[in-house]
Amino acid sequence: MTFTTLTFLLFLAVVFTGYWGVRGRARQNLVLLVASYVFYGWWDVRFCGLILASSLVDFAIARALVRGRDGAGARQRALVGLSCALNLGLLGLFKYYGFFVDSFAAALGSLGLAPSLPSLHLVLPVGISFYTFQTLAYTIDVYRDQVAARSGAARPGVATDSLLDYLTYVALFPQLVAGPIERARRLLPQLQRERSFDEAQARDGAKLMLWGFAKKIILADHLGEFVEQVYGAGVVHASGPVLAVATICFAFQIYCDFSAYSDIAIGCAKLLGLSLVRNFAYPYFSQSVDEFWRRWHISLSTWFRDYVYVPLGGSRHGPARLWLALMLTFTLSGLWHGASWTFVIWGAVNGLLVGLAARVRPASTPSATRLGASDIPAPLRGLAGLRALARMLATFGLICLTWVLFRAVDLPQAMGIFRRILLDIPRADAWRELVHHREFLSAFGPLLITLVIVEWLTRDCEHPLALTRWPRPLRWALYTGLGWFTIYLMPDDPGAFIYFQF
Amino acid sequence: MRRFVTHALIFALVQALILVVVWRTCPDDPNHYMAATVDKHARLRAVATPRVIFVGGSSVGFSVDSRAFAPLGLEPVNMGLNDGLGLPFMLAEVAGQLRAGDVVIVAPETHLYWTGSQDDALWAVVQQRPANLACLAAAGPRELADLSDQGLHFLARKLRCAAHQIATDRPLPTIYTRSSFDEYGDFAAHRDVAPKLEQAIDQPWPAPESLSFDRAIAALAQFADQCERAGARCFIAWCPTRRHELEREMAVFAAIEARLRADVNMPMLEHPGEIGFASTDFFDRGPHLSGEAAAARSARLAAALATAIGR
Repeated sequence: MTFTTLTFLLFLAVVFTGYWGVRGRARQNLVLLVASYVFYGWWDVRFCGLILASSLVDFAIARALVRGRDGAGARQRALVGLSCALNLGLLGLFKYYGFFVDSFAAALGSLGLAPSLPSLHLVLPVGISFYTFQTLAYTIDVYRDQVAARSGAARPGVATDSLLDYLTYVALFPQLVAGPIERARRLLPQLQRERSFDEAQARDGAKLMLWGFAKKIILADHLGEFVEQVYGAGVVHASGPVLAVATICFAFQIYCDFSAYSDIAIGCAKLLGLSLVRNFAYPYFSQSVDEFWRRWHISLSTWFRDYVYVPLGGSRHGPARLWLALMLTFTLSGLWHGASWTFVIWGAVNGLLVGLAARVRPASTPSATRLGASDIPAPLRGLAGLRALARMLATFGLICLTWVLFRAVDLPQAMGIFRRILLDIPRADAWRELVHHREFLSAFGPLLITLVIVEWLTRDCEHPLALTRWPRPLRWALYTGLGWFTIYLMPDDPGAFIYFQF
Repeated sequence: MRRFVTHALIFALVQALILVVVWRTCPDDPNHYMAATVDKHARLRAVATPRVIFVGGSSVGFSVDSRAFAPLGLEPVNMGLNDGLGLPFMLAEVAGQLRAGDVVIVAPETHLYWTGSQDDALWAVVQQRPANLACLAAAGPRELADLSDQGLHFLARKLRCAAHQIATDRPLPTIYTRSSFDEYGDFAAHRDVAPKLEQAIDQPWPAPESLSFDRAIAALAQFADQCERAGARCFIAWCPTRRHELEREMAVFAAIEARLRADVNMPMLEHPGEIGFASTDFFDRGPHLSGEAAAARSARLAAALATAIGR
């Protein structure tokens, strides 16, 4: 079931009524659990069996971890290792098996060997990358609690005895398919108490959902049509300037698409009295690549930080280990996005850029480790403002270059695009090719600029529709206008959310 | 909670009022192509048995000339309208109306063996004839879900139509209208018009091993049982195909034919090898035969049917 369908709106209305119509934590969670499995089974009912099996195994492992008496002993390590092996094995089987077999066959082929390797034709279950990370994080957190308890640094345990609460946590439908990737420590406590209706939270949730729909349908879907024209064939057929514009459009397409999904998910959860983690914090206003990665897909970045980068040593063991940890973390993050060498290299390039950004940053510039109210981009005033703007544009340019790798069908296409952009910039006739796209650019260029201005002006809010000081008739007129404009621009063949494929 | 729900309902009411305005600005066109569903269903119910009922999409509407079947003593009812309706819906339209002595010829567009309903076709037929919802429900919950999934897109098209009406109230000249169907339900307006010689929609199909025909085969098998129970006889025919496409996709045709023979109790009136036509035999870019080609094909089909039912 996709968010941008009438089916989902009807489904949400039914769930909302049923959820707030029952009393007690267990009943509320039961409604959520049933709704979540219906939501997920809408794609393919077989997927429900997979997520249920994955959840049950991790729940059992976590229970065994808690019951163990030897703290961080060998049995506990074996159990957490089993959880990692099962979750990553599941992901590897469904998502990466074909990639690794093909790559291995290609490597042997280059040596003159023609091996016959077994191939599997498996359907990639929607959202598997997200929920396996969520269940994996749960068992690791339970294990870490045990380690902490043994060393005397007791902290509130994350483990739950309730299978219902745990299944609801893993399958919670707003965030099941494309995140945000929730940590048990944050979401489980919310599911372990009865929720009461909060009108302000529900209103804000509805507005956030509307903003998400608008970004997805008005911008992401239409930008995607243009990007597909330029990138889709897998060959480089457009001029450098057209490729550059298409890449900028892709930068906004993926932002509007994925942040829209997160907005709708977070808004939907708010309607149900739940709070999900913020996933995007105006990433294109970043002034460095490492800042970008603290503002983009925050739930994944922090997951990799906590479960890969820090365990690898992070910045605690000197520059060599830091580079190793950084490159490995970002390369794995790239691989997480898709089973293709373009994603792997995209991740590695980002690791390199983040490492370099950290090295060249002046000592006076603060490096925020987490996002919060103080991370609102500062106003651009005077010479310092101009410098900040220049840094923002340079960062955006760098990020756009990395998006070429992300969007290209394969590496030869990506290389061809880089070369064409570089060679065509001084050629006047290459720029004239933009004229062929003037209809699209004149329609959606102003809309993109409007988005940037609106986001800049409202960057101190969680989303631009949080207009509590406007009189109600004006607010309603805005919501009505935005809603109908969104429906008006809904394409006949809407694109699926990009992150569904991951 | 009460305050929130009250405000939400008032807000929804405002949107409903806007929707009414949009609907009135862009009223249903009584001569819309899909409005022919009303006439086809009326004929299906009105004509006396024995009938010969044609089931399929627009290829059946355009490429069957029912006059060829009149000498068999069967009353023709051509239900062919649009392939976007999907095979389960097309079969469900007829399944509830079968009578003893009827003959049904099912000739779906070939892609319907592996694809479902599409686009706004379901919404359009439901809008033109709300009773079609019963056919949708009979076709299965998946069809209702598809209809629901397309709801916002249908609304979007309605909104764009209203904007177009406000900007310019000029109807587009087209022969693809309800009035272009004749009394049997055949699309007849193109019979005396020269073919458009348009470039065909020609996309290679996937390899047969990557296609799943299960849903369509199950629906056909179930329909064959329903026919048998009702005392009707049913046959399979194929969708007219451009010769080069037929040759290129012969593996897919062969795979479908094998499944039909193995799992569906419906004799074939023609074989895939017989439905290849020259590009000049088509009226437009779809699988729509010109008047002359449709007459020749229908005469052949009628002769095969006469042999099959012993008339």
